[in-house]
Amino acid sequence: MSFRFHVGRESRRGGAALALILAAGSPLPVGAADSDATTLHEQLEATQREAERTRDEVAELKRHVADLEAAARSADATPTTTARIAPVNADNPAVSFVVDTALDVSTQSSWQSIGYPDGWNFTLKNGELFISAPIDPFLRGYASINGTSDEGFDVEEAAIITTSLPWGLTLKGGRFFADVGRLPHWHDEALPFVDRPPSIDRMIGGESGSEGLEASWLMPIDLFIEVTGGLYDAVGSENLETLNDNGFFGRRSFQELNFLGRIHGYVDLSDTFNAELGGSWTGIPRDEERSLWALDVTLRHQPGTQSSYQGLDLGAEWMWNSQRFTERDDGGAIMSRIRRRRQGGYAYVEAFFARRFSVGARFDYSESPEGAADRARTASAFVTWKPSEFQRVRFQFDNSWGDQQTNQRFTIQWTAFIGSHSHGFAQR
Amino acid sequence: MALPSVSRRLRHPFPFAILAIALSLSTGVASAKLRVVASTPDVADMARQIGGDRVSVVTIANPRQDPHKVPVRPSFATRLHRADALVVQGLGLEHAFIPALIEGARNGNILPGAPGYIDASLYVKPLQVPSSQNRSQGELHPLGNPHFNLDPVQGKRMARAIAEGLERVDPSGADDYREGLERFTTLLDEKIEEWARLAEPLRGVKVVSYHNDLIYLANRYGLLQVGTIEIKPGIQPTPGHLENLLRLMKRENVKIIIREISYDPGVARSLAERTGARVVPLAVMAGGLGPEGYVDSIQANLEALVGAVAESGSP
Ligand SMILES: [Zn+2]
Repeated sequence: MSFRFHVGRESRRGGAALALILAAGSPLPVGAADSDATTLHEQLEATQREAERTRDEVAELKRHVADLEAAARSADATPTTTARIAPVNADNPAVSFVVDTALDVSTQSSWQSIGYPDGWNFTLKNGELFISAPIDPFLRGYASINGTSDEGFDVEEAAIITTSLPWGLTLKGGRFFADVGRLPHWHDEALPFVDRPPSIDRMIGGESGSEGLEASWLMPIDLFIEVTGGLYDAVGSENLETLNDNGFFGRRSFQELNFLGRIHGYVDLSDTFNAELGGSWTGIPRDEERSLWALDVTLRHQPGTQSSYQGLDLGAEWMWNSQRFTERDDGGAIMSRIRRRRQGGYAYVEAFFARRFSVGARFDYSESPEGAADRARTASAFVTWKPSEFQRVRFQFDNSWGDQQTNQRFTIQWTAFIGSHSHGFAQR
Repeated sequence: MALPSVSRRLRHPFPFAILAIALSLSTGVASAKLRVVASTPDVADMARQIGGDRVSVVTIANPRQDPHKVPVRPSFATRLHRADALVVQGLGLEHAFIPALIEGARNGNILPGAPGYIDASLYVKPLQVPSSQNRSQGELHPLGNPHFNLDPVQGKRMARAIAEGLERVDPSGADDYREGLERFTTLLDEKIEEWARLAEPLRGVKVVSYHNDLIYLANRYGLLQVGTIEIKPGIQPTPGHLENLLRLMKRENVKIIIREISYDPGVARSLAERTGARVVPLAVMAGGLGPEGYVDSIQANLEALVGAVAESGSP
């Protein structure tokens, strides 16, 4: 084999160098005493040159020997695995922790509907323990256990996912963020802003938390198209909480469950430009007779270099909700069953620069799905700086106006990631 | 569980299945070649050289990108979904995109540890392995320095791991892969002798680079890396760090600044102006300086370095 052949040649060269060392190391002939000073000087210089060359040869030889040793070690040892796996991934399970903290200052006490309290406010936005691991050759599992200023310790997600179903199918079960739209199923700390866009917060009830079963299919073509179908108790973390608080009375008929369908595609427009498009429907056939349609578009420029300009994201999402509400008077008597049709959405742009620095702007329009529409518009600007891959500081200014008073809010968010924290492919 | 009811309820799966079969017939069975997805141009070129006509290779990273910053493009998840093998350079070099793409690909054959996951770092002895997994020492090289592809002797080890991987996935092609490896290794051996002469002027030359990616190259050709512009791999320089680096460069009389081509030229240029050093572009992935292919890219890197050293009158 050619590798062995090479080893042989290296050692022959080594032999030549050894001979040189011996030659250089031998003393000068004593008979030089009768030569004149010039000759002696020349000889001395020649010897010095020789010695220098030898030194270099020896250094090179040492390097060769080190290389050969290393090669021999790796050549002799038959690897027991086929891959070097990062220790962070080899841990079973991989564990990480996020500390996401913020200080916000706002001018008005109104806009409670979109979550802006007045005055100064330090918050632990999220303290999240994230655990994930392959379970067996067929499954992987993960859990996200978190606490915030508002709510105590809770299981945000705990799900199992198949890894080896045929035909590009994946099945997911447990408590997890349902595949609605794009940002509704992102974790708080992964969002490009300090807050979830108010339109998502109000229309979906926070992130798309759910308990249920979801199946998705990756089409076997070059174009990336993924189709998801799901069945859940409820979609939206606030809705889920309400339902679970009802205990036994939270049980409902099959037709009162949440159904979901989503199709999501990705296309490379060029080597560095790409687009993503998604459409989803989630609905409850009976009782609330809810239909929530959502459309999301993302355009990205991703050169993937370290130049001073590093890319641009453009994202937008729009939601339409149609739902029947039972409205009661103060005594609890049913006054009317009324259908509300409401909508909302956001668009944002974020540009990335060298030294892990990005700036962006967002506009959001939101309505309340229930009761009065309570229209709100929010314009935001944000600056994000990541001193390292594991630390992030973000400043955001929001100006809100609409059916209620205007409000200005300023937020500083400081986030640290302990361990390799990634919610994976879906939250790129 | 409600599973049977779900499939009864959703009428979609059946037409989708027909569509899927139609699509896979139209695009999937196009060739009987081994479908290989390669993370970087270096391992892609090696897989092509070794696999020849038996393989069709798709490359994820493009040569002008930073291997630590390659974006996750779902279009590669679909390629990986139907791939027979994934070739990575390894040692965590591709942490930014390979784990996420593997997750998105839904292909059990290319999961780390599965036969189709071909790790080119298998026979490389990692250098600069951190003594602890403490992130305070930077973040991008937790398994040791992954830029061994810049040293052609490591290239031989990469090729061996790739050839063995291809043979593992496609045993019927064993003879072809062995022959391909022999051919590639012979070529590399010739070049390695040639390069040893070409790179002779690099011995003892002091250099500064943006990123800590020179160790294997420097060990091979005797370059002395005095410092990096980044504080640690992945940690951007502060003004204080740059001042220290400037002082160090002046004290050590550093005349060569290596700019990995995915980095902004700005900092290197201003350091060069203040020290009289020369800025040399370096391709950390094959093809970055123009010439494509592993061998030609090494040649281009060495020529650029030797050229700059000659002009600078270093050391
Ligand atoms: Zn690196």
